[in-house]
Amino acid sequence: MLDNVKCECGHSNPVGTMLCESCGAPLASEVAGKKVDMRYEGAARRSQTYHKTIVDRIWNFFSSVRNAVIMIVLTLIASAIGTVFPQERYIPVPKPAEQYYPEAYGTLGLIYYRLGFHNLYSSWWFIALMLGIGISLVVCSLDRVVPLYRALKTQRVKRDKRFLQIQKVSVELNAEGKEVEQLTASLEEALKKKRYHVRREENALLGEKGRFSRWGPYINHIGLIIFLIGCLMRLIPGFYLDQYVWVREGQTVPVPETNYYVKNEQFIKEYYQDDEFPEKLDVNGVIVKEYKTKAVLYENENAEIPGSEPKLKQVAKHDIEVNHPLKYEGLLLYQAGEQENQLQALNLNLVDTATKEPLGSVKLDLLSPPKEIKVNDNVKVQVLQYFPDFALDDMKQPITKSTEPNNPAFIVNTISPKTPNGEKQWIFLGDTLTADGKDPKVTYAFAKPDLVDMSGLMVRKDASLPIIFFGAGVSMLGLVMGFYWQHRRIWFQVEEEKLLVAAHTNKNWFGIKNEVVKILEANGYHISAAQLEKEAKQS
Amino acid sequence: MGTRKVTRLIVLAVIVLAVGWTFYSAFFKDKTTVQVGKPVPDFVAQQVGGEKVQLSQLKGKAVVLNFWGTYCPPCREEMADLNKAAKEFADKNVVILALNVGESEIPVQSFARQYKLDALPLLMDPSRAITRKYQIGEMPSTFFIKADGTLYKHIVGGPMSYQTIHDNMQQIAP
Repeated sequence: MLDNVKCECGHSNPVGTMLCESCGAPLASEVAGKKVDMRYEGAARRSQTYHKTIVDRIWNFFSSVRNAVIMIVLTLIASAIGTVFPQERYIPVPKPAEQYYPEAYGTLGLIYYRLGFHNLYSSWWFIALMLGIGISLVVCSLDRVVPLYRALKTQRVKRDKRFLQIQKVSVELNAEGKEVEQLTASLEEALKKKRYHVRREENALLGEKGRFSRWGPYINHIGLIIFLIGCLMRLIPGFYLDQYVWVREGQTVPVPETNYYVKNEQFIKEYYQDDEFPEKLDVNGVIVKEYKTKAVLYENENAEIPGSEPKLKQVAKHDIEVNHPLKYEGLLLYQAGEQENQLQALNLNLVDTATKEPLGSVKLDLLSPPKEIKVNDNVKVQVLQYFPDFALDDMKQPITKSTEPNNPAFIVNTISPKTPNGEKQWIFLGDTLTADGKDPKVTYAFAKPDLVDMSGLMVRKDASLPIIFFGAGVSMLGLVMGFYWQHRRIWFQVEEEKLLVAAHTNKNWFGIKNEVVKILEANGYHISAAQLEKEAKQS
Repeated sequence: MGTRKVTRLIVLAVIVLAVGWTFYSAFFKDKTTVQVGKPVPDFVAQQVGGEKVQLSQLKGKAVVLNFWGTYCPPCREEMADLNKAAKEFADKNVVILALNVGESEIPVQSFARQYKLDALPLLMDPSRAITRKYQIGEMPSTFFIKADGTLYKHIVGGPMSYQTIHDNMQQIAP
């Protein structure tokens, strides 16, 4: 490590310092005589000073705002390209990704897949970019905030004359014949009136206000980092849940990835009545007023071994409406979908075909079909086969395409006095067929089936939300600090019958110049804001 | 100077740790609950026309756990071979458990009759609790589990040839 740089004033500065941290005298030869970049007070930034080791180079790469912007732009472009073809999880057909993309989109699809765009958020280079941005955020801040803090903390009131001369607002006024002590005191008073914190060293004054606004960008960055950490926490198991569950009326189903079960006691869909509108609306059909699920949440106390008999304990009961979820210990169930009038059970009336005598009725539940139904003392129906989603395969064999009762078909065996050895029949939706193709001895007549509504519930859990909101709040605080306040400094120094004036602000130069003009006016110097700048340019 | 160096080292260490952890969890950490060489999760399931079966109660026996459904064409195709293998290994302490995913007893029972599955214990998972625990996606999905309860091999998709079933069962036989 190189030795520190000693200023004429005696202060020892870190290598790379442009302006002495204490007196402000230009240290580097290239600074002298030029307008200095005051953004970091001419302090030594590590990234601008060391370029030797690998660590230096890595540090310098990430401390560059330009590199950060490039990484952000790359991320944006990659995200945009990632929407051109569907992501892997949205592939419409169940095919491996390496086959689907080239088949559906040709060579472009293959390139898309090979580069990992099909699973963008998990591709290594996307994660690397996100990390790069995160690291850049930290390194950029550290590289700037540490020297800035040092410089502002160690600054002295009495500055080197050259420091004042190289400021953007800088002017030398004649102080001949003025009482030095009185002038200084009067300027001090004027500064205080403008609500500056004033420090005095001999005949030098430093008025300063709004220094905290300089920390705004860094507080903003801390907020963003907390925000990012919150997002990353979603990767930890148990922190984040995003699921969907369909529940029929009367049904109790497990909530995926949890030990909870949810029951839909009733689903209600209400419509607006004509008299509820202030004027007659010309709408097609009706407008829904509310979707509501009367829900009960249970906790399974026997969830250790999957498949074992659930032991349910009711933990919450709540009507779920749109935007009014059921909340329980961080778990949120939102009203998110509905399917009305889903087939729940077929109701059939048995009739003796010859005599037209009714024999009774059977109910065939489509989710848990009964094995045998006793219609009366003489008649019973055996359910031999059930296809919830009936179809014929290539060999013309009956199969079910899924477990959903989309197209239910049963084979039943009816045992009655007329059919003591049983009569096998197919029961389809709205149609029956005897197994042997003859006319049935017992006819099944369809009655109104049981229909239920199905409610779609979105299941959410997000323990990272408080952290994300806190991060967002901190970030906002930083933005407000940085945007609505300015760090203003005004220097007055009386030296050799001259009044040296200089001012610096990080924004709103118009404002600070007016303040300088007003303060000088109160002390008998009439000068315009334009002159302040003009004078500065000449020097 | 000393403290500054220490601070820098700490900052660098934190960054390296963050990078390492992110890449590790994104690419190297196996997120599946059932892993080769590790014990498989226990479960309890109702056997069609029989008692409840608990996996951990079968210690001492190797287990072939097959997830299937009558609605899954390759599953239908391999059932006869599984049945045949079950017979062959009946006295060699390897059992095949054919766990049906999401159906009721009637279709499973009639399927067993139709395909003459006389040696294969058929288990039910109507709520799909076991299916979710084992993170079953594509079916059929077959786990070859050694007698000590650890996973030897996981085969996704099918139908498996009789040879495949046989060879793997040979491998896990105690």
